[in-house]
Amino acid sequence: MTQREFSQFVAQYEKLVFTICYQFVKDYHEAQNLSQETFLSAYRHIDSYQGDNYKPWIARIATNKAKDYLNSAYHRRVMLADDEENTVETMASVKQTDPAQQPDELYITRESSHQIEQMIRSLKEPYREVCILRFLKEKDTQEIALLLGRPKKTVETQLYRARSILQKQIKEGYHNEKP
Amino acid sequence: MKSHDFSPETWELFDSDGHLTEEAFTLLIREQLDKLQSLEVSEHLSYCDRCLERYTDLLCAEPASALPELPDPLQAVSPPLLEPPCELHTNIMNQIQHRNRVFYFKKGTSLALAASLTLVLWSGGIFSSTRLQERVQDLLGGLNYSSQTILEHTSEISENIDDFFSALQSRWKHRITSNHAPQEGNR
Repeated sequence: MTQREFSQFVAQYEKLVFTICYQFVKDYHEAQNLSQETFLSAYRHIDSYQGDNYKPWIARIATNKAKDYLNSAYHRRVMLADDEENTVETMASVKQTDPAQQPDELYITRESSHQIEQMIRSLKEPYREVCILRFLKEKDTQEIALLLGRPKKTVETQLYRARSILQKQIKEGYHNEKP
Repeated sequence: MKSHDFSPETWELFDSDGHLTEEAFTLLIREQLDKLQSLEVSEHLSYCDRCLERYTDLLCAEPASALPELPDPLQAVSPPLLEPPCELHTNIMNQIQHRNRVFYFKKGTSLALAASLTLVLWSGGIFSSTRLQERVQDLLGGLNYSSQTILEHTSEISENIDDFFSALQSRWKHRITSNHAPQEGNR
């Protein structure tokens, strides 16, 4: 595709691409950056594209760019939050010096395995099926990806997020049970 | 389409098959998804053709075609596509031109380097050195020697064959004459 043809292509799809990016990231400047990245990526690969309908193709590139941005932003937030939580947990473990409490906690852990299964089964999609297959049916991520028709990397990130949702629920449950 | 209370936080984004619900599209197009929900929806759209097609259809639909049914009819119309910043098109084309310039500059530089290196080597006589010529001559000399030897051997073989046949012929003649001689004596 020549530069002139690509310029027409940009003119045809810039509204769609910008709208997709903006609806996901809700930031004007970030949407502009992601739109530029989308078109640059499209320019690199447009000659190898086999199909004849460019609309879903360019929409997918834009969605992927937005997803990558949101994913890295999510990881930054989670890592920060984890650091804070770890600090709190370390402080709590230093304070908790009574060894007599440990067998009780083990008993609670065994008892709560049934509760954890219930938690997994009551998770919402897109985490429910992934977690059932991973934690209850003990499938690996490759198998889960094949069974659910999702990319392996998506399954991995969904499992990662599902773990933190479950951890949060378990902690909340533990704190509610504690007198 | 189900009827809803107007409380988007209670809406399900995914159906039991793992596809996006109509409510999810509505929330996405109205920019009402939170960050984690946006990530989940974008993740799904990155591989699901069916939902991506539905999403682009909703985005590019005429204003008359409505978003999924909502309690508030004023909000049920699909908003038009957003107007991108006016410099977006120019920025993209500038970046592509810059990229192409860099690409052709690199390619041109490597070609020019290769050509100048060839010229330097040529003018330095690397392609016409006496050593190279000697080696070629040696090689040709060797070839001449082998072809001469083959010729000598073939002529030798043909001479031997000739000798063999002439010897055979003379023996044959001798035998015939010796057979005829006693018969003539008996007469």
